Amino acid sequence: MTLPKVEMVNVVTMAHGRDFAEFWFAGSDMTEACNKTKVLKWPESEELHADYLDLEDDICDRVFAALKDQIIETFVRVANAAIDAERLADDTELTPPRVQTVPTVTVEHAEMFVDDIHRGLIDTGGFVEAFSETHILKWPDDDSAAQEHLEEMADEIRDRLFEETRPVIVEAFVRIASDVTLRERRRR
Amino acid sequence: MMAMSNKLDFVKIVTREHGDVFADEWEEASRSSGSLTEASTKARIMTWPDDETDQTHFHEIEHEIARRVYDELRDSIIDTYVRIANEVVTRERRHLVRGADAARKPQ
Repeated sequence: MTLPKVEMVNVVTMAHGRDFAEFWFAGSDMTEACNKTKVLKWPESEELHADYLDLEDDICDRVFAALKDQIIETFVRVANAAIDAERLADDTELTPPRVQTVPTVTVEHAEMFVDDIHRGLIDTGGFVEAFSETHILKWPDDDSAAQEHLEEMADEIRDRLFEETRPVIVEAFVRIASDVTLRERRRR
Repeated sequence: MMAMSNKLDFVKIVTREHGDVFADEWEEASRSSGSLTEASTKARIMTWPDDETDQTHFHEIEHEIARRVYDELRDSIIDTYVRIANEVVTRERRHLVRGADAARKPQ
């Protein structure tokens, strides 16, 4: 059986979260709750009622201000999770089966990716191998000092190449991985 | 600008129990008024479907999001309320004391 379909945004953003927080706070629910705690005592004298209400508003405004960022962040996280779960809920008939993805590909993902490639190129000797294939530098047989010097030059080329291309790769990774994962999440 | 009271009465200290009451009552009020789920609607993360079955499902998702958001926030709501209500009550009490001291000062 296929679940009912509800159209959703691709990603719940901080802007959605802000709307959520502000609309939630717009009513009088929080002041009602504050009143129920009886932290402030309702004054018998009518002329003090306004003072009481002002003080109650002051507490609520400040509670909201202190919680707002957390409300936004929580809404974004929970709503994204709910939306992802919803998208995955009717996958029984999807061929090939859907692959789960993170809701958003971030710069942190991309940096992790790039750094791992860099480490891998060093650890596996992959860079040295590829570099020697270019024959830019000629391997000095029987001269260990020259060999050491060549290796230093190759390392410098590798590290500078990495430094210069890193931001470009990070940007491209976020853009392309976002595109591919989004397409996967949208697949029906 | 908030008017400063000189006769309002407060508890001596705002406790975790007050915070619990606040959290329970805010949740209850938000559910009764529908403000929590309505806020989720206003954020426009889902499109209101035409089909009635889909509409029921829309509400289910909306309620689930609202419930999980509140559950995750509850402890922070309690802590924040206790901290801020204590700050406000302390500030007001100082005003009261200063007012009383000023009134006692010989002219």
